[in-house]
Amino acid sequence: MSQIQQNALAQLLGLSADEAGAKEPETTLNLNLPLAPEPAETLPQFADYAIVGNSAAGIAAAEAIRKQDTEGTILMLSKEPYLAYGKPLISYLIEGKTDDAHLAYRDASFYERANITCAFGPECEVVALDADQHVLALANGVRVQYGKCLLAVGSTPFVPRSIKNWRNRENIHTFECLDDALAAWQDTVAATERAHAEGRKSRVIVVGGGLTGLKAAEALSHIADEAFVLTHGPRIMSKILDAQGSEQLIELLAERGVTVVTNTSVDEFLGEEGPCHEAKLTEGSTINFDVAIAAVGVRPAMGLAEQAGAEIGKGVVVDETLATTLADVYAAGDMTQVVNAFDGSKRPLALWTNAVRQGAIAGAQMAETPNAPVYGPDYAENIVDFFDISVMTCGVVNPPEGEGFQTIAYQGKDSYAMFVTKDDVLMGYVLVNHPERAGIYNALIAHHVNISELDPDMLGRAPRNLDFDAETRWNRLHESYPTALDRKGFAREVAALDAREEA
Amino acid sequence: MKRIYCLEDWCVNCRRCEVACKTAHSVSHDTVKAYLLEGQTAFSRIHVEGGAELSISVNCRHCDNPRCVEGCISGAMQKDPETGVVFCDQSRCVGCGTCVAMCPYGCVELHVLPGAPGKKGVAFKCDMCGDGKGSFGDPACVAACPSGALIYVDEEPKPEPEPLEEEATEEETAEKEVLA
Repeated sequence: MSQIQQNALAQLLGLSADEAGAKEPETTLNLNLPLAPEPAETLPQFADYAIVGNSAAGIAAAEAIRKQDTEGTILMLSKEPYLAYGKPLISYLIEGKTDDAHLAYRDASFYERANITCAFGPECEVVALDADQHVLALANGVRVQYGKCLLAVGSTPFVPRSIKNWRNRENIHTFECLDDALAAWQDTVAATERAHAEGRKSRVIVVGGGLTGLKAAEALSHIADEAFVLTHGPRIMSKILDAQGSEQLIELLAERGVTVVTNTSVDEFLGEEGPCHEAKLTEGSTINFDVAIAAVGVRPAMGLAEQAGAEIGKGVVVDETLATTLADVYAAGDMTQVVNAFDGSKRPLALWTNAVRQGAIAGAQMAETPNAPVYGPDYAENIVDFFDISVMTCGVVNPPEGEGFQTIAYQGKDSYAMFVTKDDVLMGYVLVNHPERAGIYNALIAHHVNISELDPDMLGRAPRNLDFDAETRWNRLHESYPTALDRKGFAREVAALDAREEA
Repeated sequence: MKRIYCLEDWCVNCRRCEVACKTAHSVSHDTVKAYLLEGQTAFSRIHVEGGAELSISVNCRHCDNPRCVEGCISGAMQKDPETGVVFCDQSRCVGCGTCVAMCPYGCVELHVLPGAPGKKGVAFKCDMCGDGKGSFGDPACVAACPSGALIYVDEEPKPEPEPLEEEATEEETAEKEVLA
């Protein structure tokens, strides 16, 4: 076990106790949340397009449908009572990097302008799908017939059975949606007040070292005196970071008040029900805490599709038009199974960007847009920030051995960059605090550019548009360039006349 | 829409576009004040790459399918459906940096404004010198370019999508066959 890991564990076990905390959290959350208007008393009995889910994929689909079909009726259904909001914003809200007035993903008049009928709230949760009859059944008993249906219900938190007694405990929260975040926030504020009244520090533990867990820890560390992240593996964000990148990030997080304890998880939350303040760790010791976040992983929310008889793999199986195996039923976002562009493996790609892209394609396909785009094999582009730390990772970051992959790493004081190449083509990268013009790397990956033909130093510094050869550069930077002009900006007709005169 | 293009044959690496951009996006609209007093808040959104032999000025391409907009988790980054201008509503930006990593040309930058909560950066990019909310203005970089390297011209008109073919009636099909 490394020194950092030992120190983190010692801190968690209270072996390096220091004086009581000084953070003074605000006591009440007085928020003006972007609540959707109450759904109409009578919902339409038929909609040309029914969109189940009101987040990234659902909104993108509705926008794409409206680009093509301004007449067809659109009904959006969601069990959450809010207008669409950026799901990843929940941690930024707690931290104060955004506020309740700026949570909404689209302006207030969006649904009205796009002529979308909204049915948002727990009573509008879609509980069954009958694909043969083209009917959706809602929690309140209403049945809606549709022409085409999009399932875009995202993913749900998943806690493995190996972690015992976490369910129905008042102070153990998940961290996926706004209600989760508000509950965790409120609870942490109250717990911190109680702890301070008792003259001790408050402590939040997060079980799970993935993106969600780390964002939760970052957010709640602004309220609680101590924030710990427990992860059973040796690395954080193990699917999208390499070992060195993970270590670099753990160090940077520690300097900012989030302590990551690796190779350690919770074995059991003690007690049976009610609040829980003690947990037994996998390595045997028992620790105290005030609030816990269960963020071990997410699973695609496939229940509806599965029950309706759609083909299911690691996610809902879709074709390149994002149609499921059920007639007139499409799926987009976290819940779909995506073919990995590098190794052909199939798994969901639970990313906001991917959900928007898939939603837009599904919407265009549903509205039968001419030359509608299609969805092919894809790969992950993860961009995340913690405090003032920037982390970007893309494509292959933990290449299998013996398949011809090469890696090159650049370690700075507070930054780290690692690139994976195969046959001189960039396949992936990890960038910690190295954001400058990083999108150019993505362009190199997407266009399979042979980097041996480019400036040999280019990976060691910020990439440039000049790194591409002249022809590629012109094509990249001159989208929709007027054909009447030549590359010097002269009118082609005049240039042709001049040439003729000279001749 | 009108677009700004750089013709690298004419770019002489003078970087006046950068100066003009920073000045245009300062409060004072005065170059000296923009550099000496507004260094923390006024940023150039256009950057010249290269040196004396080869240089090129690069700013936002206002793409038809902007990946920065696709990736934006807060809805701050938008493409105006009418004008086509891609712009960032900084009041909604949370500084996650997705747009920075999504832009294939490196044309979005995060800058931390003084007093930003949690040292949060916000996205800065070319706004076509309009009102910053999707309108066009008079791009200062183009006006300042002494060599004609930066041009501001109408893009090539997009071909109209072909109308959906109605299913041909039997008569029409027969007619076509006769003609053929």
